[in-house]
Amino acid sequence: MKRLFRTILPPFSVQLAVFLAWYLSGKYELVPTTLLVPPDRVWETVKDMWSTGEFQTHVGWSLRRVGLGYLIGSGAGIALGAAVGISRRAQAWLGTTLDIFKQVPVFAWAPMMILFFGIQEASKLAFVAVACFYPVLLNTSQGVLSVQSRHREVGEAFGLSRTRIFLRIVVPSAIPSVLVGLRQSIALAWMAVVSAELLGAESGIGYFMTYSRLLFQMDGVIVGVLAVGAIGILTNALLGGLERWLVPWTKEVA
Amino acid sequence: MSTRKKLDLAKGLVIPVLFLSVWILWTRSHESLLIPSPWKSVLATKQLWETHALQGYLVTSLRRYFFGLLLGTSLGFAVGGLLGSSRWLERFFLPNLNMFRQVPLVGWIPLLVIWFGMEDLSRVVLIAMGAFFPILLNTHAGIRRVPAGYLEVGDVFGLSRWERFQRIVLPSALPWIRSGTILSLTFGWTILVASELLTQANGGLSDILDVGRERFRLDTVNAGIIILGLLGFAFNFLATRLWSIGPLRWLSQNIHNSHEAR
Amino acid sequence: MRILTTALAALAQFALSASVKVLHLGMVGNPYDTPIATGILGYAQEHKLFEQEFKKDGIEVKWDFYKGTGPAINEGLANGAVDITSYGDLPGIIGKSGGIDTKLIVPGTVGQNIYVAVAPKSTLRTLQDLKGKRVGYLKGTYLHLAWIRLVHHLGLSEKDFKIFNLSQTEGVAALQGGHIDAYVGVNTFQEMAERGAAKILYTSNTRDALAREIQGFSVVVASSRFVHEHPDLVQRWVNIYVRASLATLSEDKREEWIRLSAKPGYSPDNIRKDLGENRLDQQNAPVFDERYLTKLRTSVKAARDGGLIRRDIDAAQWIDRSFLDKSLRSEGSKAPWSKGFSKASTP
Repeated sequence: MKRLFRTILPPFSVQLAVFLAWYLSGKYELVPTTLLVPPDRVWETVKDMWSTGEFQTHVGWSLRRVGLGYLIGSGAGIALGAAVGISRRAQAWLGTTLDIFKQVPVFAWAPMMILFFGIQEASKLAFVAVACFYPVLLNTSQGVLSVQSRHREVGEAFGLSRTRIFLRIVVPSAIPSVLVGLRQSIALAWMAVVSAELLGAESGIGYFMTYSRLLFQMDGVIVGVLAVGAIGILTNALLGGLERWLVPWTKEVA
Repeated sequence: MSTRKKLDLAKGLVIPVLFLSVWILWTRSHESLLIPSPWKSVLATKQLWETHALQGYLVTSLRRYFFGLLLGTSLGFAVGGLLGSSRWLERFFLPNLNMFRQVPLVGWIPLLVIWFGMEDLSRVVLIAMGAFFPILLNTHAGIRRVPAGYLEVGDVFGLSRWERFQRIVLPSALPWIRSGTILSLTFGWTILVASELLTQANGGLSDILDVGRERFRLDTVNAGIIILGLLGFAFNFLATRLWSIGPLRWLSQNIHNSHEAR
Repeated sequence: MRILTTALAALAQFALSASVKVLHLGMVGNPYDTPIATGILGYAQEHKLFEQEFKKDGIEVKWDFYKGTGPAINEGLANGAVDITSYGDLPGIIGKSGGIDTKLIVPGTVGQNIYVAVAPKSTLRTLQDLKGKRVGYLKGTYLHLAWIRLVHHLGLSEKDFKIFNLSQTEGVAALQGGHIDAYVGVNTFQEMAERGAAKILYTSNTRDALAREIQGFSVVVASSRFVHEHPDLVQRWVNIYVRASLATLSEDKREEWIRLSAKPGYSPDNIRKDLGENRLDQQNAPVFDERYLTKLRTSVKAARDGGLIRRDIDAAQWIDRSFLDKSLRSEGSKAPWSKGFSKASTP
């Protein structure tokens, strides 16, 4: 029993404490229960939403948007990152433009996307893609650049063609960095989806949170927050696992 | 500048210039509210400055940013230091904090607004949360990575715990702390914009973007993006240069000295 | 010993009421973002009636205008930022049903109209045409409830449309940009229609029974905590409200009413049209008459049927008539509407 205490408790101690505080606050009305809805009521709401299919619908929409936007944004990021990393020419042509746009805080693009694409799907996808783009771009280009010239020279010494050097030397060496970029951008992408939905939508978790707030159903808001958090943690874990599987030799750096 | 560098610079400017020209030409023939000419956007920026609206927004946003950073970095530094020094605490709290880190900050916004109201506090808290983690993780990593050899030297010289921290651990961890602060500053700025945008700013810079979006005025939105972009650049610049000015220079030099002492 | 406890009790009582430094009035924001109240409260604001009254006690009166309108005011009531507010039917009902402890102390105005606007070149003609189309409005407001009642009457529900949650200003942009097919808004859209920037597909500004049924009304609500701790302040507040009503609610003061209502930035002509032929003293008189109570009852039911609230409201428990009754006896006894308003005038 003591062993269990020692292993299970530490990693989750803070979460347990927070949950306890939440529960006690509900029981003793430390915070108005209209605002901080007690855990049991929230759980009821979750069950309700699951049975009516509402939960699945909204989560489904958000996931769909994240998936698509992420693919587009990361794809573009990898492509351009690789180009800029390999070719000094590409770096010269594209570098300044990319640098200029990099200065703008990513969320500032949301209103513009909504202006251009309206409140339809395209605006949310566009915003998510933009949000994913830069982390992936930066990490990919850095990864490609850092492939030491020695390794390339080895390839040249062996008489490999440029493409083969790229495929068999540069790519494997750059993959760790690319994965770091992908992992950073999924977090950003998820935030982007929720933000876009908070601003203007008719479906999705962000919309659900707005809607709940307007109808003063704070349990719905809390359900939304928990869902956002849970999916964020899950996606991070998934990508982290992928990273460890593909490149087990990298060490986590902050 | 060598000719090659000059050529590179020129190449880099081609796309932006091309973009601007296409934009100007397009609006010459198809002027619409949706796509105003670039000049309109500049005008909008100028107008904001002249009506003193910009200054007001600036003060509010910077105030939130400053307090959020202060809160986040001081807490991050303190907790990072604690977790770096005590293995027991680290084992207990680090996995937890890591999990919290992965919860998208944006999700907290509705709750924060409900609890802390629409005043500055909810945004300050969010920014603090954003600034907290980079500093925490980097401080912790920096302290943990002090080479064992250095610590032994401290033992040999009979340094007290505090002295050891001050003269060996801190200077050694400094590069890490430095990158932590840079990350905090830039991420904090992003979070500021997010928090203002998603809580209907009242008073902050993102109001410019919000109003532009609501009223369908791209020139206003562009003005907002220009201003935020310039400020973002400024903060980026400041963050990296911060460590070479004034009192902090002394700290960086300390590393130099302590390295030399070996 | 007794003297001590009484003295302490008196001190506590004094401390409690003395501890109020600011009276927070939560007000609904308007599309023009101006911190100006309309109607009866507009009159009170203009003549600084509340400020003068409470200055004697060193209490400041703060008018907080919420851009998020009703729903945001509910949050203010829940976390104590708002003491007294005048806001719409649906937000009031949602708040009370959602667990915010409030008391309905004064009935507000009745007959708030909705305007369903479409693009000028739209081919949509009737509400039935809108089925399956994209409709925008701000959820949680009286417009939302009116829409629900309207479509319910047609045998439809909210789910038969693609609903976008948009504020008034966003609605204008979305309509113009063709991102939605219709928007349910306030009389600013009537203004737009006159400029040719929109077409009104439906409005409740008519005399038929359905329109009367769906029109919104407002409620003046105080947080129970505030009522419990400072009943004297609440009484004085209601007295002023009644006084302001006396000054504004007569037919010969109609133009003044229109001016007050248009002050935030609306067009006076539209307000006039919006008012139609309704008599001020019938629409806005602060009396808990049969008409108001029926409207309240049916609105709660409609909200329940539309799935907007999960628990019913006991209207009798929500309403606290004591303050209003006392005010009417002392201040409003001369008003034509305090006695003359009979059941016969209910439509």
